This record gives sequence, structure tokens and C-alpha cells, in this order.
Amino acid sequence: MLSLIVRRVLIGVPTILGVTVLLFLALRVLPGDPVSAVTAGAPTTPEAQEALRLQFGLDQPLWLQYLKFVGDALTLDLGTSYASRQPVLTMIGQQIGPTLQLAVAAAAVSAVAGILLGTVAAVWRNRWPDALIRTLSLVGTAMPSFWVGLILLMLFSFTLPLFPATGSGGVRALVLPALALGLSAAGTVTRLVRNSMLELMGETFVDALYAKGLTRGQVVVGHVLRNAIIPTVTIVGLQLGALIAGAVVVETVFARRGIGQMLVQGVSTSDFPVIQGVVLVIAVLYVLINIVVDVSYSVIDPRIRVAVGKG
Amino acid sequence: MAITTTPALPVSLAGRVPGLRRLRGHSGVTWVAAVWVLLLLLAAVAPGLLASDDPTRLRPSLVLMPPGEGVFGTDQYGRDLYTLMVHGTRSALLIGVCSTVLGLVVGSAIGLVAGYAGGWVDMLVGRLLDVLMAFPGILTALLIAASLGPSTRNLVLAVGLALVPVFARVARGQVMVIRSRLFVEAARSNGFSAFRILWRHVLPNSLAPVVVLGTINVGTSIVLAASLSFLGLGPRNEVPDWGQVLSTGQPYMATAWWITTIAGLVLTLTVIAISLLGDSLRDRLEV
Repeated sequence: MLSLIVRRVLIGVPTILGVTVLLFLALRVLPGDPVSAVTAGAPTTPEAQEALRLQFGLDQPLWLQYLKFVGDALTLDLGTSYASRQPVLTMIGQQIGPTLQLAVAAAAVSAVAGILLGTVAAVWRNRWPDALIRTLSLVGTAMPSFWVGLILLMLFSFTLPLFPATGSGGVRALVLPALALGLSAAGTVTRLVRNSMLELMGETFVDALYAKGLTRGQVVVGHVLRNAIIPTVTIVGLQLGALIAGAVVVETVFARRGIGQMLVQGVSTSDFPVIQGVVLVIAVLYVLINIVVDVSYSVIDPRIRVAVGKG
Repeated sequence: MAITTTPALPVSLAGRVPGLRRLRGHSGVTWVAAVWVLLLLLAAVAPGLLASDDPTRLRPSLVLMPPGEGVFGTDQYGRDLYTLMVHGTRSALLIGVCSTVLGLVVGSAIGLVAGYAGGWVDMLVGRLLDVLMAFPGILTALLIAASLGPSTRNLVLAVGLALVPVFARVARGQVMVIRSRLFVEAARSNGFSAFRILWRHVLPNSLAPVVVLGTINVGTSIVLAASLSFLGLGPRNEVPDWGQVLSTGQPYMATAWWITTIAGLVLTLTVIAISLLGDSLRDRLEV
């Protein structure tokens, strides 16, 4: 178990380093000047601009800037925002809570809806519930999440004033954004649950269970679904990382606080430290989630643990 | 060149365009999807045929009229929404197709070379792809689009580059299977250059899954581009575009539901139709 975790972490570190290198290069090679973005609108002299450039450390060679960034990041210093002049880590600390809430709630929506619908579709295979659910999951995957958000807003906030349209306080403000983000992810889970349940239903152990005299409900819920949970955990776990990134768009729709909003703001003002910080945090979360998923399914299914141990 | 047409490459890809006759075996849904996509193509090529009005004509007296005024109603400038959507098809499809082609060509080239070369080149590229794949596509596209500035060309670049690792990964996997096949070995023992083997033998035989993925991806690209448009990174010009209609309609949502609803519906239907056609292509190519 421990060796599995260590190995996953060792693979994760170069991944994160790779992300930082690419990000760093992309930000500095592509056009977009933070100094002119910071001073936008305000009258400034070339000297003042030069002073800002010095202050931001943008006059230094690229590799030195990068080393400084990585070194600082290791000591949990993500630099200071060009725009707000606040430490980026503090800003992320204030904003990450709502984003994580949103991503976890969306993952829960995806898992619950996906498992329920997938099970129903598998049990009533090739009949109308199956056809309906398959169509829904196709539609769900195709819809852009920000559009789902807008439609939910119109229906349940403007037409029927059930939920607040904007804001990030409380559970009620979380419902619509979580649905918007989670429903499109649910389509994938539905299909996965349906397919793996159908595959399992053809196995001999299911025949044995029926022969033992178990009812259909007992077999489906107690045995088939239980076995289908493992791939589901994997996919929902992997989705969680993508959902954190997807929060960028949904947070904008609902004007929610969060690191997604922070990133969009940072991007629009070429605020390098903010962009780097948020992206780094997302990458680290992504890698961590992958590790947790890997480890957790080796806990759920001892066969995986044994196979990895031997491998 | 008998060795290039191995069973891995279905006849339809080698030259013969799959005729409409072949569609007959497919369900009615695929037919509907095909008709929808054909309509879109018509709208993209000759929008005037489906909506003769000028999409940019502003009618201050008809601002935010519900469906009934025209087919789909009007937008905040009094432009006819139906006309706007028809004329916006070209931009949406162009962005979707061009970015997919960009991602496909660059990604396949990288995957092809890495998979065929093997050794440290493949190791390096493989690790780099892992890094890029570990990074959500929307963030890559967002960063690129933001650094380049809002325009149609930059949107295509951003979405296309974000797709590169996806295609590279599929192409690389495919090449690694193909390269050990007998006909590649035969070509190699004939003393053909690596370039020739790649171009004439490995590439045609690795294409099918990449093409299927590409087809399905056109829809995804359109959505990704629309999302970037929504975040304010889309083209800001007079050319009508679905993503633009969708995002500029947002502030009027409380009073004029039809603008964002209809634009999003058209977008969603298009994504579904394209992915259905991609699925049917997958079935036909047996990949």
C-alpha cells in the first residue's frame, strides 16, 4: 500500500513540474503584457512602466524567474498579485473553499444521478426507460455546462424564484451551480454504470445468485451494483479534477466566488502570479485526486492491490 | 502497393467515399442527424438561401421581441434571431472544424513520429503528453486564448492546441500497434526511408480511429469555443456567431429567455448530431 502511494507521488511530481514549466513558458512567450494591463487607463510614463517591470522581476532572464517561482512555491509563497498587491496564496485561501464545495457537490450530483439512471437503464435494458435514459445522457454530455446554468437560472431563479441567482453563501446558492456542472458529467457516469452492470449481469456468479433463490432486486442492488461501483468511483474521482477546472465557467455564470473567477480575472489582466498560482493549485489538486482514486480503489478491491503488489 | 491496403484500413477510407446507400442500414436517428448537419452545411455555405434578410440589420422598433416576430424572435438590437443563427453557422462550424483539423494534424504528426521512433523520443513525448493530459483542456484553451487576445483566429488556435495531446495520444497508440505489423517490416526490409514508411504505410493505416475521434470532436470544439466566447474571449466583430449570440443574450435572460435558450439548443442539437454521425462512422469503420 505504502509503496503504491510513494510510486504515485513520484510520478505526480514531474507532472506538476511539467505543468509549471509549460505554463511559465506559455505566459511569457505569448503576447500579453502585465505592465500595460496593470496601468491600463491610468496615465503613465515609460519610467514608471520600467519601475513596475523591475518590481515584478520581469527584467530577469526567464530561467531565473522560473527558478525563483518554483523555489518560492516550495516554501508556499506564490508571489504577489500585480493587480491587488495581495499575496496570491492568501487570495487562493479565501477563494478555494467555494470552488471545492461546488466541485464536490457537482461530483455528488454526477455520481448519484449516474448510478441511479445507469442502474435503471441496465435493469430495463432495451425498453423505454433505457431508451429515454440513453437519450438523456447523450443530451447531457452534449450540453455546454454554462448553458445548462443559464437555463437553470431562467427556470428556477427568474421564473420560479426557488433559488438565488447569484452569490456563494449557503446551500441554496450551491444547488443550481452544482446541477449545472454535475449534470453534464452525469451522462458519462450513467453510460459507464449501465455498461458495466450489463457486462456483470452476463457473468456466471449472477446465475448462481438467481439459482440460490435471490430476488432480482437483491441480485441487482446487492451484487451487480456493488461490483459496478469500482469503475464508477474511478470515473467520478477523475471527473472531480475536471470539475474543478469546469468551475471556471460555471462560477462566471452564477457570479460565485472561487478560484475559477479569480483565474478569469487574472487572465483578463495578465496577472501572472495569480494565473500561475491558481493553475498550480488546480494541477496539484488534480494529481492528488488521481492518487487518492488509485489508492482508494485498491482499498475497495483487494484484487487490484494484490496485482499492483506483484507488478 | 498491395501492402498499403491491409484489412486495418476499410475500403471506404482508401478512396471510395462512403455513399449514402451505406446509411440505409442505420437507424432513423442517424438520418435525422445527417439531415441536421446537411442543413447546417447549407447554412454555412449559402446562408442567404435559408434566411435572405441581412443578419446585421438593426431594427430599434423591434428590440427583444418574443418568437412570433420572425421565427425565433429578435435580440437586444432588434436583429432577427433566426437570420442571426443561420448566418452564425459558418463561423461556428469554421471554428469547430478548423480547430479540430489543427489539433488532429499537429497531434497525429507528434503521435506518429513518437510512436514510430520509439526509444527516448517516445519516452519524452509520452511524458509530455501525460503532463498535458493531466491539464484540463478548457484551462489550456483559456490561457492561450487570453494571451493571444480575442479574435476568431486566436479562438481556433486556442481550441486546436488544447486538442493536440488528445489526438497525439490516440495516434501514438495506433502507430505502436501498426509498426510491428508484417507489412511495415516488409517495407523496412525493402530499404524504404522512414518518412516514406510513415507517410505511405503507417499513416493511412492508423487514420481510422483518429478520423472518428476528429469527427466527434468537432462538436466538442464548438462547445469549447462557445464557452471561451462566453468568458469574453470570443471574436468581437460584426460577423454573426452562435457563441456570440449566446453570451450577448445573457444579460437579457430575465426578460428575453429565447435568445440564450434557442442559441444553446441549436448548439446542443449540433453537438448531438455530430457525435451520432461520428458513432455511425465508428461502426462503419469498425474501430
